[in-house]
Amino acid sequence: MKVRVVCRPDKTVAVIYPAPKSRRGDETEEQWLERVFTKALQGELKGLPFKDIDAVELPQGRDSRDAWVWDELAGKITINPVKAEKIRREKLIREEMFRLEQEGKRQKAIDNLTARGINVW
Amino acid sequence: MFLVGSRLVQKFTNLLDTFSSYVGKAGQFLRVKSTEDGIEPVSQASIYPTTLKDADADTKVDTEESTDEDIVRFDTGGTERMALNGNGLQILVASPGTPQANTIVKDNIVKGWIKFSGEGTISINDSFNVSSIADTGTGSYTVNWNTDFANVNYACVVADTWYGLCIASSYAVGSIHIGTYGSNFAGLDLSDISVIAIGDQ
Repeated sequence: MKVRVVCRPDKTVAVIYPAPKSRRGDETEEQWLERVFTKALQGELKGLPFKDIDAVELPQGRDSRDAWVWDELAGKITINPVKAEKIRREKLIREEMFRLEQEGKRQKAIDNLTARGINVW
Repeated sequence: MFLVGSRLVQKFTNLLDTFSSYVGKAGQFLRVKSTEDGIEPVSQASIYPTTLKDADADTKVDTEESTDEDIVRFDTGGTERMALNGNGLQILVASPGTPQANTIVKDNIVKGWIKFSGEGTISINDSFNVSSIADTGTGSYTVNWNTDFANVNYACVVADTWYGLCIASSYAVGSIHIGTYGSNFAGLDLSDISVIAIGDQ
């Protein structure tokens, strides 16, 4: 399936996926894709350059989705390694902060119950 | 073969009280003349009316408002309420101030929906009135409607099968933004995201 890759000024990308059921009975595949791709180029994507590629050429997995950039020389989406590493670290920090927050709440709940003479162990 | 007076009749057209030739009569029916003294050929159209109507003709079912339009139109009280064609049944009745129970009007029909996965490779499981989705980042998607809404005052709900946070925002007549987030409010790709929208078109 064809997808349209829209390139933002900072080289990050948006990817447009056509909905298969939107194809009209009297449309060729080319007419259908052109219609849905054109309609999707609105809002923040309006007027930006784009490339149409096959979906199988997209990077596998989305762990580094926000590090996807359009590589003009390679003619495909590549992953910016610096940005990908930053994303990985931020994700680890967020997860650890969340764990500590939950752990703090748990300890506070245990302390409150113990203070009220309720044994939770 | 039988005798009419002294005349030997072998064909229907040899009768004296009917038409004398079959030419131009293909597919027509026979009818007794209004003068009740013979029979005549008549076209199917003059037997099968294209409109079924009440006494004052303001409530009707019309199959030929214009030539061969292939639309069945339903009118009540002089106003067209529904139209059925090859694309489906179009409801033209707006909801009254107080809705009638168990009644379909154009305001209460789902106008667009989609179920898609935002994990791994983005995939659209099924949809109605969606032309495409734009993947704009982690947990960030734009659903583009096929037929636009009349205004941005439509209602849209988003859900997923996990315990993530789903938000619909940036309502536009032709699209809506869907954001999905994890428990720490950072963008997160989720699977099985459902979006349903109802409003004026």
